[in-house]
Amino acid sequence: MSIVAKKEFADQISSKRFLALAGVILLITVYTVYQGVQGFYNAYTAGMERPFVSIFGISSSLGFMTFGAFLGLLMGFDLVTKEKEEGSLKTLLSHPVYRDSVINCKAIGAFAALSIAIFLILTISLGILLLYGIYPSFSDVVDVFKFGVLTLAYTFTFFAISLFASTIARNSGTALIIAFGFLILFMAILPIFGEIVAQSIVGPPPRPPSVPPPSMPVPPPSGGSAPVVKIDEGKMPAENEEAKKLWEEYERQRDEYWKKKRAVSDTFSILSPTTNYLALLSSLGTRPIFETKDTTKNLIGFIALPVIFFILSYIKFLRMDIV
Amino acid sequence: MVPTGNVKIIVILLAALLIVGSIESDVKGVNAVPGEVLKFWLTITNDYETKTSVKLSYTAPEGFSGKFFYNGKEVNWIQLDAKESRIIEFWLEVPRDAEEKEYTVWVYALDSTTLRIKVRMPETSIEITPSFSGIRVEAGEKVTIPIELKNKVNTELEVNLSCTVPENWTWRYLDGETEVYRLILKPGETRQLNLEIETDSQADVGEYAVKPKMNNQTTEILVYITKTHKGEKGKVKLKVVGKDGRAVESAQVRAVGAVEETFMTSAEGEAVVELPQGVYSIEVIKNGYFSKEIKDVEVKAGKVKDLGTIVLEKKPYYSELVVANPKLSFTLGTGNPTFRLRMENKGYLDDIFKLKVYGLPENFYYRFKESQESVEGVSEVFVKSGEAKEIYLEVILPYNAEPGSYNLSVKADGNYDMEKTIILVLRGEYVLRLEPVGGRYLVTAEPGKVVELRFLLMNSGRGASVTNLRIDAEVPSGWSVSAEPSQISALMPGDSVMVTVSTVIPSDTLPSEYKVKVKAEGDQTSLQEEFKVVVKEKSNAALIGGAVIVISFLVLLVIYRKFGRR
Amino acid sequence: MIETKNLCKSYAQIKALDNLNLHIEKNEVFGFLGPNGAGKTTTINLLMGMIQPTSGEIRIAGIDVVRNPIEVKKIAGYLPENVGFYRHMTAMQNLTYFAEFYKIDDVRERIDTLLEIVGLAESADKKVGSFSRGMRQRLGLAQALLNDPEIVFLDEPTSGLDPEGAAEFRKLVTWLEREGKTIFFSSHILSEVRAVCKTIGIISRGRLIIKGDIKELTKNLNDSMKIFLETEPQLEDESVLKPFASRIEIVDGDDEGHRRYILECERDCRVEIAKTLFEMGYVVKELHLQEPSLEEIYLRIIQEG
Repeated sequence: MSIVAKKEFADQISSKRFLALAGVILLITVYTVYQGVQGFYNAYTAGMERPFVSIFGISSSLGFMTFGAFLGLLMGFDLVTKEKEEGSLKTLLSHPVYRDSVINCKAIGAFAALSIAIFLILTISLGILLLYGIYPSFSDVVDVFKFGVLTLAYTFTFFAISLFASTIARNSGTALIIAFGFLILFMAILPIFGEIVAQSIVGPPPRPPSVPPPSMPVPPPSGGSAPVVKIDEGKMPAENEEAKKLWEEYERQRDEYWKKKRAVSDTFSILSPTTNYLALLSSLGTRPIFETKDTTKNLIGFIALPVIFFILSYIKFLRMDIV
Repeated sequence: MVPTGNVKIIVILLAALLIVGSIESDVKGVNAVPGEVLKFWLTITNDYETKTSVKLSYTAPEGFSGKFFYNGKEVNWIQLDAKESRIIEFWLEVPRDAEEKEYTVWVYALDSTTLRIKVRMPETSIEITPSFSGIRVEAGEKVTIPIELKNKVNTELEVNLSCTVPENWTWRYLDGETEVYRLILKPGETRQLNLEIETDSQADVGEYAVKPKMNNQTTEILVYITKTHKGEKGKVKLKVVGKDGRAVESAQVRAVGAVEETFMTSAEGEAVVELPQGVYSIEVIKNGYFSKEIKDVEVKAGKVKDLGTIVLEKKPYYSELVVANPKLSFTLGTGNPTFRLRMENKGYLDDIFKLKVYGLPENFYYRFKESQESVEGVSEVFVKSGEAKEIYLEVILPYNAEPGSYNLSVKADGNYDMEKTIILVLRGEYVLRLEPVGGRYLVTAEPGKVVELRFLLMNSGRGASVTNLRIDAEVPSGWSVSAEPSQISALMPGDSVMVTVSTVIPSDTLPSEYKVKVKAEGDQTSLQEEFKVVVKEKSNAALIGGAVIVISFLVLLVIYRKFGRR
Repeated sequence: MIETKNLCKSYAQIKALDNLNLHIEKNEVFGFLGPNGAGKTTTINLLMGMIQPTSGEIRIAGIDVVRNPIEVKKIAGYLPENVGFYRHMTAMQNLTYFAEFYKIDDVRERIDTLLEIVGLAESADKKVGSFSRGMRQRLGLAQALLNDPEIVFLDEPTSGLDPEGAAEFRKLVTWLEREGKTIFFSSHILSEVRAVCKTIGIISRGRLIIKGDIKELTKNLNDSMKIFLETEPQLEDESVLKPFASRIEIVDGDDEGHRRYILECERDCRVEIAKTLFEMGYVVKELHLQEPSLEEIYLRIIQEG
């Protein structure tokens, strides 16, 4: 079992693709960290508290989000097709090795390579932070570790997708196309599709009542210390009461509508690893000061997707006709 | 001479009974002017066969009076021979106040005859002839116009002289030097008068009519104003001198009228006061002199009114107290403030004054000195008439004098009492100064360490101590700060206190330059100084960082050595 | 050594293998003949345990292949048709990798020996991607022999090889035979099989048509050699060929109307023909054996059988 994994790992880390992409990610991350340090400094000197992980540029999607996805994709798309094309798979399988261990070890090797890449990138980033005199606390390091784990899962998701593409495609070119198709599907189409489906399921938003909204207390202009206008409730005219009820009802319906719509579109976007990744990352960066968003669904989607794809690849690989 | 009513009736009765003669007048009716004396020739005939004495009488309305003359003599009775006729002159004087109507007068002599007298006012009883009927003149100028009056009626005329002029113009008639307003003209008499017109200085340029009026007769003279002084002020000129003939300078000349203005006389005692046109009351006031008032001074636009020389009379006691520096600002702690006074005796008698100061707060003292350097005080000063004396007032401040403004009054009581208010402003100088120990405002530190900023806090002001000093510092967020001492109840001028401000730099502070603002706030003044704290990275940070990176690459190398392929 | 009973393999209704019954003895060199698509590779895959049979039993050295494919692989070596390797790895790396699946005491020595045997010692550190087909094939043999297998499956080992290569390969097979290996040699070329194999089986459309000793079979086949010849210039007299051929067939072929000949000979006498023609001043433009196709043999067997 470990024999194949070792070879796969060696293949991965020796491949120019991997080196180039990991290098790009390293450079981007180092640059992001450099920028993050500036931002962190600025925020710090301005007296603001910023989550430590923000240094790694959670909001900047370029590094891990895009290139990480590419990396995962490019690591996996030809793992099976190439062996088929070379005929090496058949040769391999003629030796006493279980077929499932081949696919498992491919995944393990890629996973290990990704882990090491991410680990080293983050370690180097931390080293740079230390060079700048930023001392992470233990919880900061834990956050960075979580960040790394999430990123690993994220990149591995795309690996799983491309591995699946590799098992179903006839050749590497097709596999790459299929893998990219999935990438686009998950990154862009699904969220949009979810929006459309949500729209068609939930229908148009409720209409506001035709009566004008009851006069509301004027909020004091920001910055000024204008007194809050108090409205004498007792003096409110009857029709205002009516309007108030209608508006309250409308607001309730509107909130419900958006909640429903959000639920439907979320169902689709939960299939998007990118959405989940970002959601989980932002929950990572937040401290209890902010309202913590429930990211359980995202986490489930985030974990389920690579698992599902790997299982599909596994089944397909075992049933595959090698001849 | 004038018959009574009874007599008239008798005469009429007699005449009716005894018509034994006749009276004839060739003139039966005549026109007359009031006051005219009419002459009638009456022919009286005696129809008696005998010599008869004839009574001459008349009946006339009230006011009329008549006289009979014969051969130039006034007669009442005449004697006529039988059948004799004689001509009698009858003078009838028309009353001056006769109305314009027909009057009937009966004349009796044996018989009666009726005279009808129609009284009519003559339209032009006087002939008025001005020398000119048009004059060009500058506004405000006087014009004299000779006028000839001639009585055209046969009676003595009393003439009321008047004249209609434009507003604010004046007029008067002069007969030689005498101003006249009424005159009598004998019948046929001619008289020369001068009409003096004073035009209004403010009259606009243009033609004006001046209408001399004699009784009800008028004529018109045109006056053309060639130049106006409208809007101009008039001037009052005067010179003020004392009884000794010396000019009084700086006398107040106060004019009260349309406006109220005050002027001062010059060193020559002269003053020229410009005033808007109007009537003023001018008062000349001078300290030490009795004042003088000149009333009803008419000021005309563009004209100079010369009031000539005004003589003022000196008072016996009069002095002046002059303070050279009535408001003195003085910074506490620089000695004692001194006011310079000067007493001038302007009366004509010598005087002696007692000097005193009122209004000083407790613990404040004073002394009057004859010179600034003198340490001897004086309380009484003798000043000769016409002389002056310099006196210095030194206010002796207690050491705890409070800054503020003090209103004092200096009194010099002699035969003439003087008082002057003086203001003493005492200022404290509050200056706080901060001097870091070693003179450095920049401190280098490491995260997690305590930085001590040591400095001397000084009151380099004068006169007053700064009280209630609170020492605090503004540090970046997360830093803790304390000051020792943090409170100073009072810092005397010139004193200083060593202050230590300690701040703990949190260990997670990023290396950078930080500002620590040290603040010392007292009741009177405050001070803020900025210290710079350069936080350097922990000395081992770069080492660890570098090591982490190196190790990372080593790990990579090992991995490639072990697994990688070329 | 190899025993199959009613072995069947179907791919979606199509019967790739129909009731195959094989019995191969130890140290037997078995030639498995059949046209392309007849089921040769399927059979080998089944025997190697790489695919599962639809029905039937396979036993190799007493091991139930269906239940225990790994055990079979341990004692078997397999040279697939168009053997593939990891192109980015060197010959040595490829072999080292595959060797790791076995317990081999001195892997390095073993690999060196094998490379020496297959004649790739000098190319050991060259990437496989740069190998020619022949080199790959030889490396494939080395790969198949890594575990010193008792049985070696060779699937069309000479296809696409030049004659020299093919000949060398045959030598290796002969060497293996001497080493005491059981060899399962699949080919669609009869002459290949005939050169090395003791026994052959002919398979067509999933069915084993004939099986037995090659000599017996060739006798039955009444076989003769056919040699194709083209010279420059054209032969003036065909009679020069008479001493070699029992029959001369003239084929009009090319655009210029050059005559070409197919000679029916008793044996492979190409060297003599070439020599003779050269001495006569002809240049041999083309000279090759024309095998009797298996279809022919097959048809003949059918006709005769």
